[in-house]
Amino acid sequence: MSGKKRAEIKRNIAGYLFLLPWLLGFFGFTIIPMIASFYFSLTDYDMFTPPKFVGLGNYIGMISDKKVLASLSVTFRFVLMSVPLQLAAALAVALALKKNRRGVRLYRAVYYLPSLFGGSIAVAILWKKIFSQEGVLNQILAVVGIKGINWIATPSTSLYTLILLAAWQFGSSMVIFLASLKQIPTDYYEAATIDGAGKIRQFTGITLPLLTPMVFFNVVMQIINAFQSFTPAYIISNGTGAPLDSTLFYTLNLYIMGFMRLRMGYASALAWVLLVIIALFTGAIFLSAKKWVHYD
Amino acid sequence: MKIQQVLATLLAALILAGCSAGSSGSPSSATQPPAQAASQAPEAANANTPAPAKDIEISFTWWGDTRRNEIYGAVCDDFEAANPGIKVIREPAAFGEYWDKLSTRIAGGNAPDVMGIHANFGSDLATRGVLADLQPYIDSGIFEVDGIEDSLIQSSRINGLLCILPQGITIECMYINQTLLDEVGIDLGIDYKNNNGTFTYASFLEAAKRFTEAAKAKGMDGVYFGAPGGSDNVASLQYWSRTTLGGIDLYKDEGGLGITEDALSKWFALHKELIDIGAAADAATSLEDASAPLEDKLFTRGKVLISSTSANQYSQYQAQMTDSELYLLPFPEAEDGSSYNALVASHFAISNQADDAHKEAAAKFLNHFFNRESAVSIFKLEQGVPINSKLADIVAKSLDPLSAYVIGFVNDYTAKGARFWVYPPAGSNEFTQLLSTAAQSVSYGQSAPEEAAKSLYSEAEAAFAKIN
Repeated sequence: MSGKKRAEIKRNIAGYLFLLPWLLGFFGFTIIPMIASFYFSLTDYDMFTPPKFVGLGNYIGMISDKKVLASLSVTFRFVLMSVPLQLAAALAVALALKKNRRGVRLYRAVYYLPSLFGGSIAVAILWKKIFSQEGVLNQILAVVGIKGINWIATPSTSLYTLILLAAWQFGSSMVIFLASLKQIPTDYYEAATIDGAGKIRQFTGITLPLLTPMVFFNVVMQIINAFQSFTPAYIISNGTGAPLDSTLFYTLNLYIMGFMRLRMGYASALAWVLLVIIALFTGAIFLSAKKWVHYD
Repeated sequence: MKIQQVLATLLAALILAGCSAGSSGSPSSATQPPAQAASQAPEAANANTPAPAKDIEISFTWWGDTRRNEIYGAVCDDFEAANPGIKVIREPAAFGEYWDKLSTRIAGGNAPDVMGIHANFGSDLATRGVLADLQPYIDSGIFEVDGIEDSLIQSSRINGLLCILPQGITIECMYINQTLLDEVGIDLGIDYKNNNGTFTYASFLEAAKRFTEAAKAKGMDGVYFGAPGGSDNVASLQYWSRTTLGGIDLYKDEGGLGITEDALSKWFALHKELIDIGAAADAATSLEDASAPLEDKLFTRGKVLISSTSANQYSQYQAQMTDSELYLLPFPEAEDGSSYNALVASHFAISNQADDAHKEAAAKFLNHFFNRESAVSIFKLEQGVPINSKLADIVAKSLDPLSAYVIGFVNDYTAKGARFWVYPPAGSNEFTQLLSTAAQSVSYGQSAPEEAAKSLYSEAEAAFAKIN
């Protein structure tokens, strides 16, 4: 018996060794820091002196914190606008690139490129150059005789430049849609054509329902991503959320609180609230999925 | 089957080895402090021992761009050549990420042994016990103070603790573009070319009006007079409060705000007026300008007459603006002619987290930095006039005319009473953030100066109360 067990352990040892790097990362960089941050969220902690326990004080303080409310408003608007826009763009381009035309592989690669850059600093700087007072956009507008504004430094437009940036990075959703589109059997469309269904009817009657599992997956992933979005707002506003907090993403406010204002306990509490918000959103989408996601 | 298992195990072991090798090669290991050094000789501080018997590594962090990093690096080389037993691990960072990195490292208990410190962060660190007391090293003679004015040392104390030393002394002042002024064709009637006199806040506003009208009459579009420092700039507000309120500082000695809500409101109103009359750029333009690199700034491009920064950056500006003639002039003076010029500095500090051996080596490094001609000749005016006045004089002789002009400016106004004022108290960092929000709400026309002042005042009071 014990010999058998030993043999089993021996057999599995390679497996555990393969898992070890990941496990080390998981505990060292995820689980332990999360437990620590939960503890800090219950304390007054400036990073340099030992934390002082304050119970739920940080969480209660958030309710009346103008910056938190402002950042929530900015973040919700960002998520609710950027995710649908991004998915619509992904689906539209996926549909256009579905057929095997000449050079379609090149186009697929080109449209996928922006999402490879992801939330990179270089792209955010590029964005800043496009939408500044003397940026590319205003130079184009000038050709048709319109005097543009400074899109990034104007409170009413700055958030929309970031939404556009997020929507532009639709590549990964597009690839998923594309793969899924190719799996829809062509007989369905043939049958529909014989029955006299037009292109639009085919799209709403066949393509969209069969795509819903992928739409569901993309919505969940992109919402989680959008809530955590940080770099573009950080670069474009120089780490301040300026102008007038119009680009003060929740994560940016969290960063300012923790690292600029040295209120790490409060920042930890902010992080946990973000986790709860994301969990609620994701949960709601999962619950609603029964109503609109069709698995065959 | 068996061979496969063996192979798999080997492969897994290889991956693991790869991971650990990768991590030990990462830059974070460069921070690697005391561990092995702690066991090395807790030898008593003896000033005259040339170098510790065993090798020691001290970590040194500062902020800067590539050009500045080379200068700091050269000073480190110079120090290492003179102190064979001590190696300086260099850890520069860009200003934007410097404070996050530093706070994180301090929180993790592995602060660099020697660190560049900015005034706004000094108090937050010093009052929390992060910075080492430097007095023992002066007492033991490791750090020589012969060439350094005692007032300089005394003014570097935070709550009585000597824990920072200025890397150099400079004056926060205004820059004026003479070429642009001549183009617009008005005369300001101030002898700033000879470091003699400046505006008052009233005459600044009046000149701003004249300049703006003259520029408009000449059809010069998009040209601005400028402002006496940004409305969101703490140093400018500090300066304004001393000058217009008869010497009252923004911060109280014991911490907290020293000025009233009404004063804050007047400060915002001054800047609002400058924007309203077209003398200063609108909020969006200013915001973009604030984060623009030096070569793209409105001032550098000859679109703004007056800008403000520290005097030691003069050479850099003049190098960018080869077609323009630039002069320095102090911030406006009071109506009765009194001036409240402030010396400013970036500092060095030694980490309190280091063990005695490292602290001592760090003190030797600072001594070399401040008191050896070879080091001072490399560093020159990088952070202002060197604090060792004998060496400053020697260096001055070998300087180019632009740097000599800066030294002259700083020395002239130091002789006229420029000095270090209240060191920003703990929590000033938080005030910086609050001021920026309030100033923006006024410049974007979202709130009136009084409203912004009111909410800024109450928020600042609350923030300071929390700390003290």
